[in-house]
Amino acid sequence: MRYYESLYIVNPNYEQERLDEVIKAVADKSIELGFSIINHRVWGKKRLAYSIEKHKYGSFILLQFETESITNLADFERFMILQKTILRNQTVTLSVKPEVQSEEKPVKSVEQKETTEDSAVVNETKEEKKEDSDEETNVESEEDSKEVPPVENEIVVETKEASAEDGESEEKAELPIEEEVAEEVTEEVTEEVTEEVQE
Amino acid sequence: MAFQSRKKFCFFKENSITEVDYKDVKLLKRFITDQGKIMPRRITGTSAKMHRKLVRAIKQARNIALMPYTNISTES
Repeated sequence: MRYYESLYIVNPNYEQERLDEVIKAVADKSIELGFSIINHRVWGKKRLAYSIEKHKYGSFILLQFETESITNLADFERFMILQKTILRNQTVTLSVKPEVQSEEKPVKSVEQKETTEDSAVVNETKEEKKEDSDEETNVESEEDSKEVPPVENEIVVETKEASAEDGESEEKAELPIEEEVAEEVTEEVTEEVTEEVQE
Repeated sequence: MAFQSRKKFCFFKENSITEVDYKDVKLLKRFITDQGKIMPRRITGTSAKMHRKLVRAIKQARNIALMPYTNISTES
């Protein structure tokens, strides 16, 4: 038995139902040719390194199968090329038997993350293209500029309060010193008076 | 004093990697230049056996549009 892996790119604009139809068609053809499918899953919607048929994104689908006959591979390759829905495909040999991935939940979560990232990238590009984006940025900058002065005022108020507190604290700190000095003076005076009285 | 270059080592041997997967773009990007060219093994230090596997994986990744043939922008 030899193991093969076929990765193909489907038009990214297709909805989930149409994508499932494409996957089902490929699966049916591979079964018809005598392949036993090990894994057949959606890898995710990814950005292409270069545009294919003016598409910048593509839905990558991974098919891993095993077969004994090599002659059917050419028919499978021809079938994949003739499909208009498939932008590009590539079949490679595997040296080791691939593990069966039955867990769908983690794959879906990864796909969702990737799609969210892609959508974020798309949204960013759309925002850049929009002419209103400049106005929005200006508004945001104005808001930021508006937000900044109150903070400064708060800081100023805090500094004023702090200075006031410092003044009070200084006064409070000064008072004990004065009291100590007064006590010392009174002690000295009392000592002098007692000495004079003794004389 | 003579300039001493850093000693080169095979990345795959150090990390005990025996097979190179063309879907692992993050790994393959370590071995291409900013232009997208495959770096020679006299610079990367990979062993001849692993360099052959690496080159095959990069070319497969290019074919399926996971990696660029070139990064020179054609828009301008």
